Amino acid sequence: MNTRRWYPVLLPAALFLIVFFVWPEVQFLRLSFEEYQGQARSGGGPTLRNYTDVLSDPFLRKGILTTLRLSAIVAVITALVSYPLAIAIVRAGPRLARAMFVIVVSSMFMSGVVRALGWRVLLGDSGMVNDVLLALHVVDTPVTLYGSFTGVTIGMVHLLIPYAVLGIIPIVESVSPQLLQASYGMGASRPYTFFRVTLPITARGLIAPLLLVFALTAGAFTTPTLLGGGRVGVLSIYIREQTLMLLNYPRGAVYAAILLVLVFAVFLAGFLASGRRARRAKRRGPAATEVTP
Amino acid sequence: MTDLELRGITHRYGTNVAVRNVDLAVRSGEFVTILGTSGSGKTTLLRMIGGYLFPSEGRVVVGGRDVTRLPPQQRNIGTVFQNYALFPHMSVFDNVAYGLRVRRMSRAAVRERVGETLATVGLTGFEKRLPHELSGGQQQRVALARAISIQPSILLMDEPLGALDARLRESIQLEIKRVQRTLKITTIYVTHDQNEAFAMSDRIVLMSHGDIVSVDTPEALFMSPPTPFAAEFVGHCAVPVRVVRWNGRAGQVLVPGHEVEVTAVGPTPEADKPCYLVIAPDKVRVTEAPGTTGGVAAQLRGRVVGRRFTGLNVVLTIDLGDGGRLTALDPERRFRDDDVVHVGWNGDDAKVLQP
Repeated sequence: MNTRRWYPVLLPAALFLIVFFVWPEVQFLRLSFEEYQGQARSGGGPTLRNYTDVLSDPFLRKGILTTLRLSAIVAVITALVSYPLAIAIVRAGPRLARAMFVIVVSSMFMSGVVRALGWRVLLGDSGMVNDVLLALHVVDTPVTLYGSFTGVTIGMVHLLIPYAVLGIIPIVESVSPQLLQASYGMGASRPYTFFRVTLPITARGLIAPLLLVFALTAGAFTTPTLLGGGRVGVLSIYIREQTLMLLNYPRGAVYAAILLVLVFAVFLAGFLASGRRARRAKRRGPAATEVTP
Repeated sequence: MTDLELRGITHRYGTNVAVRNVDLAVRSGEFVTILGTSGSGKTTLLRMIGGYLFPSEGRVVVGGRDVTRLPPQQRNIGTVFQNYALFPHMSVFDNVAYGLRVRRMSRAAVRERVGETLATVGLTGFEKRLPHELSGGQQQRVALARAISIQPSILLMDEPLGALDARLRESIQLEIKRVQRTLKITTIYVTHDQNEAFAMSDRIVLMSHGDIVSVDTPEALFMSPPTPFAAEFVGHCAVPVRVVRWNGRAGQVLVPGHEVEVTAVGPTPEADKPCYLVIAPDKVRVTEAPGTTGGVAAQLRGRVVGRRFTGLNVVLTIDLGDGGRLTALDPERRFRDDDVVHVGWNGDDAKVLQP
């Protein structure tokens, strides 16, 4: 079938993206090269001064690092939690699988604000999490969770687990039950089968959900604001500060551009990593023609 | 020696009985095919032998050991799955070595055994290939190699040729048979294709709706199918008839819509069950006009409603009216569609069977 015949159908979506996404994005990037001329005013340029200012500011460099660190840690933890969850859903009986799926996905229907506020109660110094830790004598004094990097991490992981599970389920489903049976039939235990069959086959597929969670965390604003208590400085918070409170649009635009470049770089790295493995598999040469003895 | 014994195996899914009270003994080195349509319970039975499914009742005994409740890991049974189930991320070598590495064989021993096994299936030199770089037939042979590499006590094959084209299927049938005979490996083979079953098996287990219909050699099953179902399955015709009179092992029957009484043989039919006249296609004589051909009186009038040229022969489907249909051969290619013909047979060749 000729794909070109379908191009007109894509036109509305393309127009929408160009008008409401690409064009504002370009405007915003252009702003980052203009000079700040007092509240909400800018012009002149183009200049790289905004960039050099930001990148030489240790406070902002820390913000960049915090954002990257949070995104990476949240991505890894979310994947570690979601992967077994996805396997359980795929391998469970139909009824249990549906129940687990509904429980996981239903939390997506709740606003991130509500969930962050819920965690704020749970993570407080006299919140339930600390109560449990104290009661079990894991700690002697309450741990600072609310208003800390750990607290934001917990909130973000919880927020993003459904996305990761939804992304991982089809990957786990691609490992057919027959493959597992073949392994069992040859005497392999369940753990052996997991490490030699399921994990290697699904590993490459995990990159996409990991990247998704990374990007969503890097751009997240609500949870770091509500659970960070002003002590977890990520770029999204600084962007808001510059554009909505200080009205320094060029500065805000620079932060946004940096965030964009960082996420893009991580995506590129991820795709290159998964692409290289695919190429390596291909390089072993084309299929031979059938040889009939 | 008996390698596999099934005693009263039953499997239920809820109220649905997939396999009902199956008894079967398979001798060492024997090639037994479980033949049946989809839903006959043949794959369920195979899965219970492999340990992928536990029977609701009955025992599975392998080499004298009761394995009914053992998981597949503890049975040492090799399985070739329908879609091969090759590990897509492993080379041919690693696929075949998988079961050996599980058994913690030394590197040298693994290399030697994989080499031997790949030589047996004719895939030497393909060690480094990945499954997706192989043709269907080659993948099939890797699956076979992987299953026999562990020197299993029984080899199970679940419709292993289903995904291959017809020509390749025949050459792989011979290949599987050759490997099986060389290694003298007890094999249970599942298929819905009676030609495949005939070509490969020492014995055929015919299943229908969870029951075993017959257990016999291919020749015996073809020559004297025990039921109308078995007869139709192996390519005979089964025409519903009414018994006029019966005397010991022979009698006269009427085909609906025909006035002529025809002779048939068989045990005395039971009165309350329907009767079917069963006859092999190569025993049916077809002529243009009523008359005698080869000493057989062609008495029944019919019409050719189907004509299939198979290369070696022409297979005719002849409608006798009232739902009765015969299959006959026409090696001289004398008849066309819609020809009116007369058919007959030797009284000894037609049997009356009841379900």
